[in-house]
Amino acid sequence: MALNFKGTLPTLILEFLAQGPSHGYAIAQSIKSRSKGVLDFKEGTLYPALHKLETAGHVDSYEGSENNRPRRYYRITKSGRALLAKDRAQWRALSQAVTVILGEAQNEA
Amino acid sequence: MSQNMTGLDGWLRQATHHLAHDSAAQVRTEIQQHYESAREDAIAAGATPAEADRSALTALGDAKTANRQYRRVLLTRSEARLLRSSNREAQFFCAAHGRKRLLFAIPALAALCAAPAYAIATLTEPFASTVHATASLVARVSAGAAILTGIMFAVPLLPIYTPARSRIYRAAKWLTMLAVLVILFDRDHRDSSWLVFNCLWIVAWIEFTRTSIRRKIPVANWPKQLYL
Repeated sequence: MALNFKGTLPTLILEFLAQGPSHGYAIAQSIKSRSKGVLDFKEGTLYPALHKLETAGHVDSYEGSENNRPRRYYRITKSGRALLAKDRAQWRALSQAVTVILGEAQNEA
Repeated sequence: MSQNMTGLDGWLRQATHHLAHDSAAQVRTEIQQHYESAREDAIAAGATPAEADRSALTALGDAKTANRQYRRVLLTRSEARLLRSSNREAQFFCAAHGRKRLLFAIPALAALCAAPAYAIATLTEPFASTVHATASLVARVSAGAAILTGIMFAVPLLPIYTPARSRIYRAAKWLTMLAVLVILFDRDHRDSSWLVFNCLWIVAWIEFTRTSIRRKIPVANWPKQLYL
């Protein structure tokens, strides 16, 4: 089952980059593999999200290489970490609220 | 391979449609790198080159959707053109001291014209003559020009080069423009106001494009004219 997670992609990118600098392909593969394929997205839309985060100053980028191939690496900035912390807190609150409501609904059924 | 490179080329053509030259080059580089990695991984996992090309292209998704998203975050051709032309204008006026002084002289001259014209219009008001009408028109146009050019050409003297201050400046600029329109088109001259309002869409379009550019360039890299 693949879910559309529009809107949460920037948070997932920041979460991945919080572990260390990486390039677009590795970020895409990591999101897909860590969610065991549940969070599926079209990889062509990853870079616009990365550019938006970069313009906002939440990530910055530099040229690097991997296996002799040039790569653009992205790394999280201080403001990116702050945004990630805020997003995490919001997500926890939202998911707890939904879990409570769904739990109640299940008990009533 | 050549068939699938055509597939990737087609995808890139669609995804970079209307993007500025530099933006399009950036997209091409990152997507080509991504595509090659996906292709190599698929081949390493046992896919044939043709299957690997197909799966790498499919994983990229719809090119039109990507294009819409790229156009929201990267400069388009028209935005890059506007940025270049405003850079040229800024360079033209700031390159020579004489031209800069000329900018300060224009509002002062317009105000100097407006003052005697108002005086004449006030003195000839009881007679309702052609002289009064002409003096009144000259006074209104000169006052409008003095106020408008004053707020625009005073920019080098104003501390507006932070996003918050520039927002205040832009709000003041738009309020001033509205005030000038009110001055120019009093009750007797509303019939001809359609001409100016028809021209206003150009100003509105430039403002809209600048707003879009501001969202796409990090604040640290904003050229000075983006603060206006």
